[in-house]
Amino acid sequence: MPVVDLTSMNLPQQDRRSTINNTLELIRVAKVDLCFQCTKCTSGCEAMKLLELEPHKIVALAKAGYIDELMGNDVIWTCMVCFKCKERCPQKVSPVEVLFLIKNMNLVEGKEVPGEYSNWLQTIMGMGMIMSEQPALTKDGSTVERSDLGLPPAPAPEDMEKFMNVVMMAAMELMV
Amino acid sequence: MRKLALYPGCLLSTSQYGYEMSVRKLMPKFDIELVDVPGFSCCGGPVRHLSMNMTYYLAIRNLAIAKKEGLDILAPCNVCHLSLTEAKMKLFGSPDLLEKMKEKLMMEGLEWDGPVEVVHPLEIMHENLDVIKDNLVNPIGKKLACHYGCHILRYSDLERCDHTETPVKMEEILRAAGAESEPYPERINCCGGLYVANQRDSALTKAGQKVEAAQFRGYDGLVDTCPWGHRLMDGQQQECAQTIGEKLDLPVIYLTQVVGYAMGLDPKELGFDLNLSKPLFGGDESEEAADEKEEVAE
Repeated sequence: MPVVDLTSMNLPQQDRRSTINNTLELIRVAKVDLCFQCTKCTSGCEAMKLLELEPHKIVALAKAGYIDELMGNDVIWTCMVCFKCKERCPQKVSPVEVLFLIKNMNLVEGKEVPGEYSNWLQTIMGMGMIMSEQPALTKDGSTVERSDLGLPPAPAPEDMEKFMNVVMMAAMELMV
Repeated sequence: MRKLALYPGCLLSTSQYGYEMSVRKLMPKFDIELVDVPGFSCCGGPVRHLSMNMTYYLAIRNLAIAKKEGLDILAPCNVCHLSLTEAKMKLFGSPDLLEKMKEKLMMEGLEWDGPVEVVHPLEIMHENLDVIKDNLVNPIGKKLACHYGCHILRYSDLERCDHTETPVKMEEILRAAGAESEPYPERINCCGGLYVANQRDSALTKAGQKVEAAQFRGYDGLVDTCPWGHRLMDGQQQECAQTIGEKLDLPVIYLTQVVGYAMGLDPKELGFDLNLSKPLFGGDESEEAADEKEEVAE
């Protein structure tokens, strides 16, 4: 008999769990099932020290199939992508990439993404980079443009419309 | 002379101009010609949270553009370096995913013709330690702390620039440039650079803690190789100080700027003016000079 989450009264979502495992297999990362909860990831986690992200718990929930519960929780957005958990895992599990996949599901299903992320995405689709060219501040308080410093124009995709279409398509689909 | 395509990525091409200037000035000293290739976009690194699929696509299209020109890539930004290397290795190990990406590349009129090498300035400088030693004009003579940045050290399944837990290259480069540099406990800690999108206060806290650690241990300055850390630790150092409630006043400078200065390049052309923290060189003298001027005026 499956375990029931007593907060949400939900059963585990086995289909979502296999989506995550299949994607991990596709990108050659160990499945979440291999985690044996040694908590080495959490003891080195940079975000643990600051915002109490506990990667071993994320993996435990994913392993049990409670993906909806994770998707709706703000804690998944506190990872600072230092890759220490992936580096140090004795089982080659990758909590950082499990978190990425859960957040990716949020975007695909049209849920809200926090902070600047949607801005970044729009700017990438509009001009190729996460932000537009900005004047830089100098030590004496004046501002200078790229061209004032003898730098060539910043690169950008040549056919912006085609680029935008393909990037949009890539962003809106899961790998499996 | 080796030709490399300079891949500036988002931060170098839109705000961290000092790093780009110093890379452009310094690389020819090591017999490297940098080529500007049109058509590059974001590497996808900052938006992994939104879509890994998109990250792989963005990285692979930049690799395809460089391959079309027959060039390997120089990626001065750590985040770009990881993202490009990762996409290359992941797609190499996953033919199914590669097929999907090839279809998308075709839609943009690009072709996948095999991977290219992705190089970081740190590796180039380390390969040329002798060149730095032989051309030393201004030995640095300061005690400097290193900030490697997470993404050139991890994760080691991919080929990274240095050892993941005990890196040595940056210290060796600084010693070759006449500076003193020893490892300190916090040196592989994260700077919080990728937090800026949604956890700005935490980003400033992490960066502030890093600067504070170097300051507390008595270093004259903090040297980094990543624009994500630099924009916080240098550009917003006073905001970092306010966030952690400490007094911070430490020079933060790019490794390429330090090495360029040691090899006799003009500080102005290396973008020293664009560093907003306390100057590493000549700062004390100019303060004294300013004090003297004030005294004279009185």
